[in-house]
Amino acid sequence: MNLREAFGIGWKNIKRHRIRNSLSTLGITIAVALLITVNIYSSSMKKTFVEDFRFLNDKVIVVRCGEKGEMGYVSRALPVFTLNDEENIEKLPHVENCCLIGWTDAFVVSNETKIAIPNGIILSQPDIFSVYDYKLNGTTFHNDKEVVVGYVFANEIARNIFNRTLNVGDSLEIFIPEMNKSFNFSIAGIINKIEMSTALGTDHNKWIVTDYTLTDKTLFRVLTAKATSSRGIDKAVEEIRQYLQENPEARNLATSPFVINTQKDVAKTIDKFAGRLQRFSLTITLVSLIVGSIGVTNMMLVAVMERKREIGILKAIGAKNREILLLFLIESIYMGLIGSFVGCIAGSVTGIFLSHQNGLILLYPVIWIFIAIFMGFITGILSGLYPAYKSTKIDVVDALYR
Amino acid sequence: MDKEKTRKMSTLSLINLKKYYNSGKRVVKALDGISLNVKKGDFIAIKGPSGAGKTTLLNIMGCLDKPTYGEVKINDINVLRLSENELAEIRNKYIGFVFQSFNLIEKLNALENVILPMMFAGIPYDERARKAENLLRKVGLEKRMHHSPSQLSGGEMQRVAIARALANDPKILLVDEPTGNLDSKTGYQIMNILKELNRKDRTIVLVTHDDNIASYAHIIYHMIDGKISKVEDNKK
Repeated sequence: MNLREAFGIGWKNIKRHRIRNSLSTLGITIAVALLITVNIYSSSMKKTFVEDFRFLNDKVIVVRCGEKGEMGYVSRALPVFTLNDEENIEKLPHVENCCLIGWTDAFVVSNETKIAIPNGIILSQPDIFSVYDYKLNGTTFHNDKEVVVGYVFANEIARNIFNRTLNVGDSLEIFIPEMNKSFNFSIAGIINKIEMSTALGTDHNKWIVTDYTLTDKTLFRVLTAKATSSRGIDKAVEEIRQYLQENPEARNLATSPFVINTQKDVAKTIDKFAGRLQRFSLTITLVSLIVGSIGVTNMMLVAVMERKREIGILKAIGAKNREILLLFLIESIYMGLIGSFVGCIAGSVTGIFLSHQNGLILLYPVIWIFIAIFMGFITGILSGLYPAYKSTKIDVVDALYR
Repeated sequence: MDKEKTRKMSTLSLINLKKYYNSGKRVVKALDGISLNVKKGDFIAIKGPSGAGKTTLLNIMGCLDKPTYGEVKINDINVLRLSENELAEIRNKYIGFVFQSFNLIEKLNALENVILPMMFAGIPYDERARKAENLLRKVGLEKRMHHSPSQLSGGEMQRVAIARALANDPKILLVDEPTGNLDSKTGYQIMNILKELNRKDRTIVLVTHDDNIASYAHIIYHMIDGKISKVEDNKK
């Protein structure tokens, strides 16, 4: 009997008890589904965050003050940075230029109705776009009578509000509740489309940016700096960190630690987090696989006892022990493979769905499909070994006559 | 085992065979000093009442069971010294079994049942399919090849079992109560098939409790309580 024939017979046996065998592979299916789901999700999350931080070109340094989230990103930044900080940081040897960013609630006024701007109006300085290396259609704002708007705002959002797209030179009426006043801005420039996702809740494509002098704010939530070169970014970070530690004004204002993000360390943090998630899922998967394999072993033991007579017949007509062993082992391999195949499909569907629901950029980790199928194969072998061995120990006379 | 050597096997010798079982504190002597020789082309019947030890003897002859004492020689090779794999090879190539309860595999059809021993012998697919079809044709089942055992009558199942036993062209056919589950007319047909096989030089060892069935054999060994009580020459 060759391997092909053994696989053929094994498949016939599996098909005879479809429901029973499907149920006993459920453990493997769940384990693999979990593995694939978590891996699709974590890979997509990683890709999304990497994309999110791509707008941080390799020279940009973003400084915030607040509690660090799981991803090393401050979501509720405190207003602590002053114009004085900006001036001092800009003088540091490895810093090319520096900008402050703040924001306040704002509404776009159209036909006397007010439509809230999701992230408010951004208050910054004219060279903000050169820090981020954003290309503009038009120019940056020169004063607080001008704004620069993001690509999505100028096109999609504006079309919803005004039934038309915005162009450079158009005017835009914005109401600022903090000042209880409406302002008429002229659009000085439109930021060219930036590739970034919306997972962090901020999208520079939706920005409306004007000069900070619009309000009387003296404290800003974000300080962005541009290093003189991508090589010098670590030195620039160190200089900024030292400045913030030594500067009494900044120290007094900050009730939380300063968090400095660069493209490099964000990528590192994401890798660490995704790796932790993958290791966690792998642990759960291994435990589930052990439970699943017990199910398959149990089913195979039942099959061996049920087919005692058949084993006796096979031995009587000349089947060798290794051939009987192979037949049962192949059945358990089939069960492991079926379980992992179904698990891959279920896990893919769930992973894709969850990634989509959470606005992540989908990354399908194909290598994990192969790993999962291999794991199913190994589980099949391991769970079938004992029942297969038992099948070879069946006494022929006992099987045929009793 | 040397293939050429085993190919020439045609005789079977049992020397002082004893098979004892423990039944609680009592020792049951299923076989108690049996010696006999089977030569090429013989048609032997082992006859005796239920519990005489006939089937135990047949199982030992067919390398399915091992005696407590004694020797089993097939072509002068003591099979008790062979490994499990070597015994499986002997069962596959040199011995054919026909059981009272047919012992066909339910999930396989008649053709597949006959093909099975050839598969374990490593015969190529086309050859074994052709051979199995020929064998089924010879036992008159050309129209029932693709039927499963549950769709066949008792006589048909026994004919499939005979075809299966002949699949690897064995030298010895061991037949255990072949007509036990059949009506007399079908039993007669089965016995005629066996008689015809013997006429073509096939060695047959038959176990039965039935005088009429035993009468087909050339030598009848009468067994009682694990011993041969009488040897009857039935050559006509």
